[in-house]
Amino acid sequence: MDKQTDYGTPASRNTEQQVTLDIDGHSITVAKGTSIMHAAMQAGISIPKLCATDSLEPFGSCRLCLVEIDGRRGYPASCTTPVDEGLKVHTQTPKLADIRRGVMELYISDHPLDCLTCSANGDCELQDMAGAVGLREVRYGYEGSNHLSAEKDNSNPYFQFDASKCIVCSRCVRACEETQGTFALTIQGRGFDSKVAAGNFDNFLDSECVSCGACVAACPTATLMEKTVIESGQPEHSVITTCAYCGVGCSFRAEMKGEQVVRMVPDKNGGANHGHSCVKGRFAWGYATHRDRITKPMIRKSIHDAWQEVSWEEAISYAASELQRIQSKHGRNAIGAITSSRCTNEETYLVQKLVRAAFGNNNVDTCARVCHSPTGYGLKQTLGESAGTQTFDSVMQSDVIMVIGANPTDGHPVFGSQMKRRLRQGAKLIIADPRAIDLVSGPHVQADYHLKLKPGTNVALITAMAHVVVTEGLVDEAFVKARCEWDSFQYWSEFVAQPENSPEAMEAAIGVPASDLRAAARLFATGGNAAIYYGLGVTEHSQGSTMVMGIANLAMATGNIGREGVGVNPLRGQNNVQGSCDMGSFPHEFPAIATFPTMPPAPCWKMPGADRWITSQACASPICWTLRLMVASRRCIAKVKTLPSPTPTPSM
Amino acid sequence: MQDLFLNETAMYAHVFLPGCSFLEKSGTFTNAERRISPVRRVMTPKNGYEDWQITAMLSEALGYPMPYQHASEIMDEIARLTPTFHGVSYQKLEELGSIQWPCNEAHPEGTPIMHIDEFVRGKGRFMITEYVPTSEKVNAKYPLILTTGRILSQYNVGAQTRRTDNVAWHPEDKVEIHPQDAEDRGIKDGDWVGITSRAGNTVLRANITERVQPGVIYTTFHHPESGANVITTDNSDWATNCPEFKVTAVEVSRVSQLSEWQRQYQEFSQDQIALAQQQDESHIE
Repeated sequence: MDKQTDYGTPASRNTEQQVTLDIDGHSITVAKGTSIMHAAMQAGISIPKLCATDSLEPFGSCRLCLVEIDGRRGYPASCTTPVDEGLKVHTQTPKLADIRRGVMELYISDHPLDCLTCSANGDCELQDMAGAVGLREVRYGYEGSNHLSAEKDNSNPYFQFDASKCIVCSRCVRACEETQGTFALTIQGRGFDSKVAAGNFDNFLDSECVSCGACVAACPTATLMEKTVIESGQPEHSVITTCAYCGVGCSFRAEMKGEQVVRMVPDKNGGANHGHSCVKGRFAWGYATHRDRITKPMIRKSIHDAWQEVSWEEAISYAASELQRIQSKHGRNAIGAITSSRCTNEETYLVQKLVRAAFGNNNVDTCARVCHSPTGYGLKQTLGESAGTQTFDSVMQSDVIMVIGANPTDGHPVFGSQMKRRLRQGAKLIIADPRAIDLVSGPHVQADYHLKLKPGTNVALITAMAHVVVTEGLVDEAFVKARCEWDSFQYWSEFVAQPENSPEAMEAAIGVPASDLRAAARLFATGGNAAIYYGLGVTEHSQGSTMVMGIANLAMATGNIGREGVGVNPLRGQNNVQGSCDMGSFPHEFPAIATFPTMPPAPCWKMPGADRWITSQACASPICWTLRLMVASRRCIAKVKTLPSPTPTPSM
Repeated sequence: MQDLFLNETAMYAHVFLPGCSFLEKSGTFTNAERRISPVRRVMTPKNGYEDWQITAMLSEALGYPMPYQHASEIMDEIARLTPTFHGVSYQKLEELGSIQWPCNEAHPEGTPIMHIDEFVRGKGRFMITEYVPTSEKVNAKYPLILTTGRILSQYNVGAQTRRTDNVAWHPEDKVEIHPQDAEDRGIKDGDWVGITSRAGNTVLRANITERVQPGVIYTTFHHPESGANVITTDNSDWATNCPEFKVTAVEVSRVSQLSEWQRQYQEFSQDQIALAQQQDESHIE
């Protein structure tokens, strides 16, 4: 199985200046700031290492990656030494071989010699390094004090912590801090007594660990190991795919044995996740083979009858004949379909095509109706496109982050970790939420303002903030003049400037002191790149669409749109909420979010390859949105037949 | 109904078409940053067909053939039809890994940041946002506001995550109540609490916490028997009909048993599971 190359240290952030050096006789040109270890690996020269991995900042503790540099004293660690123009580096010399073998002897003298039966056999960096340095004997013996009888912690359902195999390289602790931002792990004790611990807790499950698995991925030995690997052994091939849970859309390598998934490993090249994941994506995929799974079609006449297992032919033909019967009895509009935002784009597209081409109506809706439909409407009205404006990576350029009605560390955990990374670098944080989400106060993260508004007062809050921006002269007028409809701005600024929209007038309704509203608005408008992230706490309100427009107004008025670090960012709940909205699975929208008024008059849409036109007249108004379809279906269950995948009943 | 499991909606269905998981099919998902990423089949569908094939079969039975051989052909059709997707193909996804739309002649490798030189609609438009308080108001009978949210280990109604070891972290939904509100009502941590709104009532265990402010209670909705949305109202967004799940006036009190709705739900779901198992047994015979 192909393994992803580990460059040992992260790539340099400097992309402009280049440096040329010599490593083992090879002339290498790399970005300034690159470590010697990373530069060597780019040239295919692998320097022995244990505490270094390219998802973490260099640490320089294992003393294995030492090199010699002409004209410099000693043996610098290649992970912590940056390249320099004209350096002449040697990675393999007799002296280095001697030092490395000595270091490995020490590690192995306190490590179980059960390689053949170890779960990491075939995927163990300690084993690889013993081979690389040519370790042949351990002169210290195994009789002295050691950690070989340390107990295993099996409390986490998905991975084991076997302290007897730990080399205390700190990769797990650093992954918990740098990658995940939870700070649940620590090194307890000093010297020989050093050990990895889940904070002050007895075990991983009871600790602050969120089971993201970053530590498991970072561990170079079998100390932190997926239980599925312990059970099944090493995978033999991998396929890159995309997680089916939340709207972050993490890229994963499904590591397989034949048709069995052994583990899911986040892909370092994943554009949304860069090698990170959460407990759901990395570990919670076992439902696919759960015993509750139904794999044979079933039919029944009444919901009080037992199900009858039938062939696919019979199920499809029964469904089709019932749909036709209902249509002939109750009319063409008596049937419809709801798709899930968990479905693929292709499935969602096909279902709306089925409805429009085979059902002959527009009675199609998606569960995005009950989550982010106000985003689609509000952003279309203001910006012209029903989608978030940024990449996730854009947050790394933000100076002020405003989170409204969203809980990224729970709902969009991998992006939540990225946001926390930026906050640890010093970005300011404004949270508007009735509840103290984890971001309000956590390890090395503290919200500058937590606007604890009363539920249902979002629009009052955003309008009051806009009042401060307009009346205190904080509008980015150059941006507004160049980029926005001046008339609409003037009309809007007069509206928000009205005294009844001031923080002082609104504070009682909102439940947040006017001084906090003013301070937060000033920070947002003047703190540099300001970005807004929001979730269902914005949309699932009677004024959901109004609030989305209020957010877009604030971003435009302060010039915070159209570049890195800013923007309006809906945190979409499901993996394909954006896609299902793009695929035309709304009654009033076709693919590409083209609405009826902008389409040619009916018959308005010709399916490519289809031999007939689809008329849209029947549903030119959105009469069959999910709620109404569901209400109709409760009254007359048989009328709504096709429902791929969502579970709307408990969602509603 | 098409799904992996006999979920809560399927219990009302007359035809159940078994679906397949993301591991068993090909396609694409588009994430919150407009990133189209490939979903690749890593195992044979346990139900025999990829989900899109089932839709195509139904369409054909209704007299409208959909003769696609592979999900990539559906994407080719989407790309032809949809200006923002003109440049998208499985081949390009293979080359680039993922693509952020718009991806077309103007942006052949996609568009990470939108509205850079001008807004998609040309000029940005400011909209008036007059605050209209929701009609869902607190009063003496319903003095608290319930709002809802998610937790890390579970996903939405939990059809999938409840069938994994993630239940170790969140085996049930609880209602968060501020210590002051709890004390006023004689509620202690872990008590069964009845939550009553104008729309209905349900019962959950109390989690007394200062995470919520006085006057506000909070719960998650990952377990169907919790019925969080049994007590939410019929209010919805004026423009799109998106339900107002986040604001419900309620009262809470200590109770000793589940609500009527929960008992009915338990009975109904047990009956429905039995109806599915009956056929299983007859099949085995």
